[in-house]
This record gives sequence, structure tokens and C-alpha cells, in this order.
Amino acid sequence: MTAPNEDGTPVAAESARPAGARHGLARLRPYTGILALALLCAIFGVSRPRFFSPENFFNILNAVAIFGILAVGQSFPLIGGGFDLSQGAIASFSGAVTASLMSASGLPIPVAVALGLVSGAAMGLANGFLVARVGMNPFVATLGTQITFFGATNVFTNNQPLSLGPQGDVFRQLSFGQLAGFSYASLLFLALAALLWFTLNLLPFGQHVYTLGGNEEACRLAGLDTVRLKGMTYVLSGLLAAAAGQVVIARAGQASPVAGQGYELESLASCIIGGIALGGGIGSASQVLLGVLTLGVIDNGLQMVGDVVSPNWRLVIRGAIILLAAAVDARARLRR
Amino acid sequence: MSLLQLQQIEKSFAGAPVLRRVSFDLRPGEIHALVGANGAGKSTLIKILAGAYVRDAGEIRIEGAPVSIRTPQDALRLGIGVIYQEFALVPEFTVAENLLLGQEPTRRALGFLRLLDRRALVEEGRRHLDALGFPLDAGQYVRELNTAGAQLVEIAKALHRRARILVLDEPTAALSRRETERLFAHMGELRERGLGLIYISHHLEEVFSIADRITVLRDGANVAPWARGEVTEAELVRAMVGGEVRLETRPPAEAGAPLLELEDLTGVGFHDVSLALRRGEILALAGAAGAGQTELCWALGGARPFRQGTVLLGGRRVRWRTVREAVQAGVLLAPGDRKNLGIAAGLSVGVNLTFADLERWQRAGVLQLSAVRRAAAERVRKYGVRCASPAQEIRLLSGGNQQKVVVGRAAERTGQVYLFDEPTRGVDVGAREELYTLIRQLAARGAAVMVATPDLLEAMRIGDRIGVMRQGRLVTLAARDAVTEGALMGALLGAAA
Repeated sequence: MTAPNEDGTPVAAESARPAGARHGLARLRPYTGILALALLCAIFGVSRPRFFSPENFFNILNAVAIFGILAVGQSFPLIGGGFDLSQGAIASFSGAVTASLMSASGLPIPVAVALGLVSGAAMGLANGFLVARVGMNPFVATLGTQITFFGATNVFTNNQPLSLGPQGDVFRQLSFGQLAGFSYASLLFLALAALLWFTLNLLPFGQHVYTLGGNEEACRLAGLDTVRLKGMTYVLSGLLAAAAGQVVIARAGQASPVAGQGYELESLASCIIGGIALGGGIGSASQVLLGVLTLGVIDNGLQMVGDVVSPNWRLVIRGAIILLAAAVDARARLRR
Repeated sequence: MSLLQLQQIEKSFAGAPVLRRVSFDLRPGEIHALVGANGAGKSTLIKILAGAYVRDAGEIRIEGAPVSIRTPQDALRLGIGVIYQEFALVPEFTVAENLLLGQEPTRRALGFLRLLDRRALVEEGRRHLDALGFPLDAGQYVRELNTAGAQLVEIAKALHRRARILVLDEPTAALSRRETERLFAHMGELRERGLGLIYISHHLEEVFSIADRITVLRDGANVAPWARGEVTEAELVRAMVGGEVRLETRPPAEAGAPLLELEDLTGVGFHDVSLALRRGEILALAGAAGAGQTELCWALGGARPFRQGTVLLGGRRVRWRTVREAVQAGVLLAPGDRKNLGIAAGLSVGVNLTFADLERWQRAGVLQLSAVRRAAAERVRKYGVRCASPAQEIRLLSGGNQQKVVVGRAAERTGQVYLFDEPTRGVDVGAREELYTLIRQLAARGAAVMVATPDLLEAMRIGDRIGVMRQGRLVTLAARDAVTEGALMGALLGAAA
């Protein structure tokens, strides 16, 4: 009997057992993600030995860089108990801002990039205002801003791809330049993932994001500024979406008004596969990394075995893995 | 023959007995009141009847036949309907749809489709309400009803499921006087039809006006039922409070200077409260649920605004819009409903103990993780939180230990005024003592402490001065030595005890 109590009765004894005493599958829960990734690598590696080559490793990292950066950003609102559906639109808009400033206005790259990032943070601030201050549901708020921001990109670009101008070749190094085999984009992703770890674990802000997602009202009653805290998670998501937007235009060599469509779902999928649950309070940088790599390995591996398994299966397999991750998580919660 | 008999019911939680050999019987055509202080076991008893808890020992008989109630479905099948204070209605559905939820009439279409028969549903709802004489419109949405209306829907719903035993848990708590009278008229009619009603209430005058018999529960045991005419209010109050209760209390604090002064403070749930809270004292505010003591604590802690009146802190007029502002002024609130307001259940004990004042352990803006860990471990020890380690998820702890975390988190922060709302709600006896000790230490340190509690005995235990609130007003405020339990209970219940 584990009915909640109102009348002076402690919670039933069985639920008071320490976590270590849990049995069976639930005990494996912390490792299911890494086991699944290892299993996938083993399958692909056995069927195509080339899968384990260093080049392919760098390939995978480079391929996941954009979604990885988005996932780093997404993890803030997600752990804080919300989510951000406008990331793709923010990436498109801020990419267009940077491209336009570089080509049409001829501003130097650092200035153009900085202003692109500022535009992303500002859009994140709009999300934060709507969710934290106005009190809108994050789904509705960020769906609304997603549509608005995509629309703004269409207006801004006149629905035409923007070129990067004469500095384009230098700027494209962000995607194509390499350091010890790592592309700059993949290094940026890894650095941001490390920064995510630092923020979540070593800054009071990061710890407060956990408690915000864990119980917002408890947070408020303990005297934390929950409005600012929650708003900040969306600002960071917007800022990182803008960073991803820079990589997008560097990779494409132009700013396309439709480039970022659907990207927010990729970042959400990465986080969920990594084990960050919707609802907040749970999640870590390593889980983001794990989820991002898992998606990357699936895509990469399926390309390699493309002669045996049609690439058309990609989405089916991806969907199945998302569902599996969510199912494991749901069962683990039920056991609580 | 009795409609319902409970014999020697026992129930313990984690070794702490809550019901000790409680016996109770209900006759058909009777309203039987169940009264008792908070924590006396009333809720546990009705949850056993409702199938939410399973008894440890004892027997339940319905019309003489022993029955087993293990699930809410069992209770429903046996004709037991429980009307809690929180209604289980779908606000977006009509009255009729709520009445027939799960039993909607259908009609056949095209030979194989079974469609919801809306007309039959409304007609059945209307027929049922008319038969009961309830003045409700079957087609109206439940969200448009007031509390009294929604309550009648709940009662009608239970009766539509053929309940013969109706349990009403403080049904008049949120009703006006006129609504209460109307409810009593309906209850009287149900009694005429031969139903048995168990009526739980804190309002003794109401008990005397409607109940045929009265049973008192005290500390998990029952006092044999009285017929209404056999007992006076004063006798009832004495039975609820018990004989002499030995209290371990600290010597009255030396009266310090007034620190927090309220003048005619009015807000949501309380009116015109004036009092002065002094340094080094514990002021306990007792009152039934909704009497205003919780609401007052919240307003003083910045969690809710107050409308009129003034608050002086150290002689300076203050008014905060957020909890944060109150905290910065040194006024700290420990909320009572810990599941919803106090803890982040999925996070660790350590995080829950430290998140509010993490800034202490940062150097150049970066947290010193080892220092945080040490502090968490130290607080776990200091507040006697029983857990496997500070890294354990707090939801795995008992209610008392969770509450220690909430109290400890507030106590650790530097402040001059501490407001504890129901600090021992859902806490077993042993942990309760430890919480009292923690609260007393704060006062001994020179802080001004206010404790809101629905439990008069608790107020007597912890308070240097004791205030009683009723219907949003502070009706009594006196030093502990200057008042008797009977007088306070009388003030609490609004009875001339």
C-alpha cells in the first residue's frame, strides 16, 4: 500500500528501502543507454570493420555537431521542466543574420557571429518571457515562436538563400577546418558539452535548474527567483541554437530560410535517447553526449550497411530507439 | 441490526499505531458523527472504509456479514460511498455525465456501433436528481457549480452507484451557513430513506444540530458513542482533548523586543490580524484547516500578497512581493505541504538540503563540490535525517525525514524570523520531537518563530504564546501558562466550552 498520506502516516515501508536494494532491470537503468550504444557499435562494427576506423569516428562527430550543439541548449529548458520547440527557427534566423551582416553589410566575421548569437539569445529571451513571466505552457509558447521566427526568417531573407559574401571561404572553415582530425564544428560541440557539464555541476545556476525542474513551487518558496531562472534556460537554449545556426550556414555555404526546420525535434530526440526525461529535474551532460552519439551512430552505421538495409529504414529505426528509451524510462518511473 | 460494524480495527504505519482497536457502528437511518482532534485517526478510519488502506486487524461487517475491503472497488460494490473534501468530478463534464461516469447509456446504430446516448444520459441524470430532490440541473457543467453544488453531485453520484453507507468528510468546511443548512436538510432526507451517514466534522454546533449519535476518536482509540442528548459540548471537548496531558515544554522564553509587528493585516484567508512577534519566542497559531493561520504564514513569508494593514520588521514598515524579498529581509518560510511545496522529490537529499543557499560554497562563482558535499553530510547529521546517504533520492525517505529536510533548509539560512507552516504534518511521533527541538533551537538563538498548526496539542507543546484562529480571525492570543486546553479548543471550534 503506497497511497499518499495526509493524516500522520509515514509512507509505506517498502518504498523506504534504499535505492541500492532495487532489483532486476531497474538496476541496469543507469547503463541501458551506454549498453545500447555499445550494442549498436558492435553490430555495425562486425558487419563493416571500417566502422571502427578513426576517420569514421571523426565523421560521426562532425555529422552530429549541429544537433549536438542544439541538444546542449535543449537540455537547459528540459532539465528545468520545459522544452524549446523554436530551436530550429532560431538557428535559421540567427544564421541569416550572420550571413547578411557578413555579405551585405561587410562586417568582420567575429562581429557578424556575435550579433547572430545575440539575436538567438534575444529570441530565447522572448521564449523565456512567454513561459516564465506570462506563464504560458512551453509547448504552446515555443510552437508559437517557432512559427513566428521562421516567418521572420522568410521576411528577413525575402525567402531567398543568402550568400556568405567574400568572407565565406574563411567562415566555412568552421565546418571544414580540422585540428588533429577533429573538425572545428565537432570540437565546438565537445567544448560546449564540457561547458554544459561545468554549468550543471559547478555553478549554483545549474543546480538551481535541477531544483526548478524537480519542484518549481518548492524553489519559489525557498526564495529563488524562479522567473529569472526559468527564463534563463530559454535564453541559453536560444543562444546555443544560434551557435548551431552558425555551423549550419558554414556547412551549407549559404543561409537558407528553411535550413533549420525540424532541428528542434532532433535535439529533443537526442536528449530523450540519452535519458533526459520530459518533466524536468533529471539529466546530465554525459546523457546529452550519449544521446547525440547514439543518433549519430545509427545514421552513420545505416549509411555503411546501405547496400543491405535500405536507407529508407533510417527513420523507423530512429523512432524505435526513441520509443525504446522512453519505454525504459517509463518503466523505471513506475517502479518508483 | 447494524448497517455497518467496525470491530477492534487496528492499523499501524511503519510500526506506529494509528488506530488501536477502534469499534464503531452505524445503524440504517442514522447520522453518526465522528469527531476528534487532528491526528486522532479519523482519516485513516475512513480510508479503511473506502478501500484506500487495508486494516491490519479487526473485522468489518455489513448487515451482520463479515466483508473484506481491499480496494476502492470493493467499497463501491459493498455500497460504501465516501465524499472527500477534494471532489473527484470532471469539471468539463455536465452534472449528468459526472453522475453516470463509466456507466453511460448507449444505443445501437447501424446494427453494430454502440453510440453514447446523450438523451438517455441526461434523462437518467435528471430522473436520479429528481428522485433525490436535489436542486441541480443535469445539463449544467460541473465547473459552473459552487462547492455546495459540486458536493451534491458527489453525493448523488455515490447514491447512483447504490451506496447505502455515505461517509462525509468535513462536508461543511467550505460551505456558508445557508448552504450548510440546505445540506443538512438533504442529509436528513437521506436518513429518512434508511441510509446510514457517517459525518466527520470539527464544528461541534453542527454536530449537535444534525447527528443522532456522536463517537469521539482520540489518539487512535474511540470513546463509546453518545446519543445526542446524553452529552454536552464541554464533555465532548474534554473527551477529544483527553484528561491531563503531560507536556514536555521548555520554560517560557524571556520576552525579547518585538521584531515582527502586524497591524490589522488582511489578506486572502485572514482578516484584521494584529500581533507582535518577539525575539526569542515561539508563537504557535492554531486553527482548523482554512482558519487562516497557514495563509497568514504564507503572506508574511512573501508567498502571497496581503491586501491591507501594515507589517513592521524591526520597526520599519515592509511589504514584499516575492519570497525572495522576504528571504533577503531575513524572513524565512518553511512550507507545510512538503510533497507539493517543500521538496524536489526526484532529487537527492543533499540537493534538497543545500539548493537554497548554494552561494555559500562558491569561489569566484564556481561551486566547491567537495564543500557542498561536506555541508550536505553535515546537515543530514545535524537534523537527524535518516537516509542511506545524502545522495539518496529524497522521495525514498519517510515523511518525517523529508520534513526535517524542509525545516533544516529554512533553519540553515540566516534570518531573524522563521515561519513554519504545519511543520509536523504527516510526521510520526519520534520525528515530531526532533522537529520541535530544531524549532526551539532557532528561538534560543534569538530568532522570532511562528508555527502554524491545525493541532492544538502541538500548539501547546511548542508555543510560548498560543494564538487561535477561526474563520480568518485571531480569536485568542495568550501566554501558554495563562490558558487551558479546553478554552483553546472552545475557541478553535467556536463553541462555548
